[in-house]
Amino acid sequence: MKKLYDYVVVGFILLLLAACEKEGGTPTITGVEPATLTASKTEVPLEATTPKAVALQLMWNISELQSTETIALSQMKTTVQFSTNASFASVGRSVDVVSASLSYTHQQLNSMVLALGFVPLEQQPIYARVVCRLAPNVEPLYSNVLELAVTAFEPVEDGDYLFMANGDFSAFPWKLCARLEDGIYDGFVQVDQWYNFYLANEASADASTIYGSYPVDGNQYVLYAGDDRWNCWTNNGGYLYLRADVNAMAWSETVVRSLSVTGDFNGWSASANPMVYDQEQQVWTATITTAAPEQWGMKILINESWSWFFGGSETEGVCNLYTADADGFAYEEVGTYRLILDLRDPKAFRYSVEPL
Amino acid sequence: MKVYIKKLSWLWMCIGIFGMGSCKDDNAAPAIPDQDSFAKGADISWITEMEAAGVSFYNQAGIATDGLKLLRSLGMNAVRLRVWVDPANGWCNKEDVLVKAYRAHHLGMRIMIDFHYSDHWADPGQQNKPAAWGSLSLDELKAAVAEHTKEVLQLLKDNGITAEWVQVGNETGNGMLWEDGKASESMANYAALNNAGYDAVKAVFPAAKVIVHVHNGYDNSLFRWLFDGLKSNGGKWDVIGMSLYPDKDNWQERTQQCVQNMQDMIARYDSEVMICEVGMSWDEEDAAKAFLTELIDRSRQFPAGQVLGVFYWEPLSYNGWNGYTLGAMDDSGRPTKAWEAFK
Repeated sequence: MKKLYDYVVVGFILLLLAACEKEGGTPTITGVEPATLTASKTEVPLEATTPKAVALQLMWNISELQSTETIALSQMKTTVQFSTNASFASVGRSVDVVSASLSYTHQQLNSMVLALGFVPLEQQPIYARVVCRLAPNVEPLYSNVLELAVTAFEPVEDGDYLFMANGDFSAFPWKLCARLEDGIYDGFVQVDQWYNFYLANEASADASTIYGSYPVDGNQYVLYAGDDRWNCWTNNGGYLYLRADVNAMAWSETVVRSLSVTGDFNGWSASANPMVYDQEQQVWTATITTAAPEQWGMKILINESWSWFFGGSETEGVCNLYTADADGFAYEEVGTYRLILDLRDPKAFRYSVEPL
Repeated sequence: MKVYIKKLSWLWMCIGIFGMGSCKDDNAAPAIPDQDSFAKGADISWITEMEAAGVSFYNQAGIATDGLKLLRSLGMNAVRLRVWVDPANGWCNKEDVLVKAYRAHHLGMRIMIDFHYSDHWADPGQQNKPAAWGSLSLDELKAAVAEHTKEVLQLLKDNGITAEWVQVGNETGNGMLWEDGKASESMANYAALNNAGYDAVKAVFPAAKVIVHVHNGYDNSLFRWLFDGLKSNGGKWDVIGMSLYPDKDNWQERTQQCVQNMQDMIARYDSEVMICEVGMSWDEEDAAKAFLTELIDRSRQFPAGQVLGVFYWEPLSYNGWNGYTLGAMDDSGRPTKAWEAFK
């Protein structure tokens, strides 16, 4: 009999050990129902004069899950989707949320709808819905679709730039530009390693929007405009390409190790003709010798990459930054010349050709 | 055999107890809110503005969590929401209040609405009229108070939300809507404006309890002066609200004074009491927990339950949000020990 008791004890202990294996249980979950989405208003005229004021609030109720077993709530993913068509044939923007409401300021919503192709000052519809997904292998549940009539404002002229301010706002050495007015700013800077900076919409300590990094460790690359922001800093220093996306509220840095000129003249070599950085003038230069006008134009490769380079544009003296296949920029001179690349104003990257 | 059966039943019991605890998970689906009639709540009026600025809230495990669900999982069953008439950036206007109330309502939480009758902060240092009310006569002011109160509460009601408690004025230790409603200038005016709010609340939510809320809950003479004055001018209220913000060195003394003040208010006016605002520096979490535990325990000891609850003011604020340091989150956005008092 004692033996039987021992078996039972051992059996129960084994059972206990197995009981919390997450994979083992088959929870039956109920209460999974589509959310009901409502908005604070359905006509949203956006105003450039009140960029930080709340413009639109969406809220939804999601019935709470009931489970026969304990489940991790983090399994449940809620996403707010926006589209310019009611059928959501293409989703223009998806925002993952943990809260049960989503608020946009005038500036935030304006950036979003302009990125979706809205024409300023025209009232256009945008559609919103909430998607709940219990697990990757479960069909998502969609809320009702709300139609919102939004009128965007013209982006403020100087809003095309974000100015890089040093830690105490005493200098604004570089700037980034959203050339497509889509809230994605980029540009080239040269700074020391661990350089502390902010990105401001005016070259002033009193700028109406000043982005730093989100004030929690581990959020160096999260943009954040609250008064309690931390400064941004770069790990690398040197000549860098910075990109700040104020829609996704994130920034990134890429080290520029080399710029190299390529064309017929050097048999499209990625490395034969590197450019040199002129610290004083803050421009890049290279001495180029050609025997004939460049038939396909020239390209300046960044980090010897064929998918990240300066190529042609429709404006004379301007070379565009490409990440996909494109033509080179015009180069007609024959003989030995100095090619100068000026990246200081990211609104238009400029090149010029001078006799030696 | 009997012995073994006994032993086995004992074993079953252990397994049961152990088994129930063993699968606890910080992310587990929260239970329904605490059904305690004692309100354990927080003012969370900043939450939507914080979220729009990209601030997240984390549970103890560091997982980003809905701020309201976090509150509930930490033992709270109520929220308090301030209302401004026409605030510059819209936060805490009636639509923003609705969003927060809607979220709390759908989590089964109880709701207190806190009318400031101002476009911005109303507190002992300022009780500015809303800009649009600047040139109104006293009678027109009373009408404006009533209209604004009804408009906001009706919006909640139309959305299926009930306000259980409503504050007419915020920290009105010297009245509200200065200069007309400054208590030290005219207690009669203040009482009249207060009653306009009181009647408006009852018109929309007859069962709601109306709170008159005063700062410095330890200061019995201030409370006696204000409520004697209101009473003698026909002022109406159901609940006396108090704020209490002690520090780590004086919380025991302040709590004792506050409890004595509560006893006096209950005896003197046959009124109920609510602790509408408390707070302590976020980095004094041990003192904060001790203070809140003591305050809640003492509040619960009133024999007829005359002290209705305790609300922490903006515990979700952290990292110097708006310069405020009396929240209850650490600088990584996780709850401090202060919350343990609400379990």
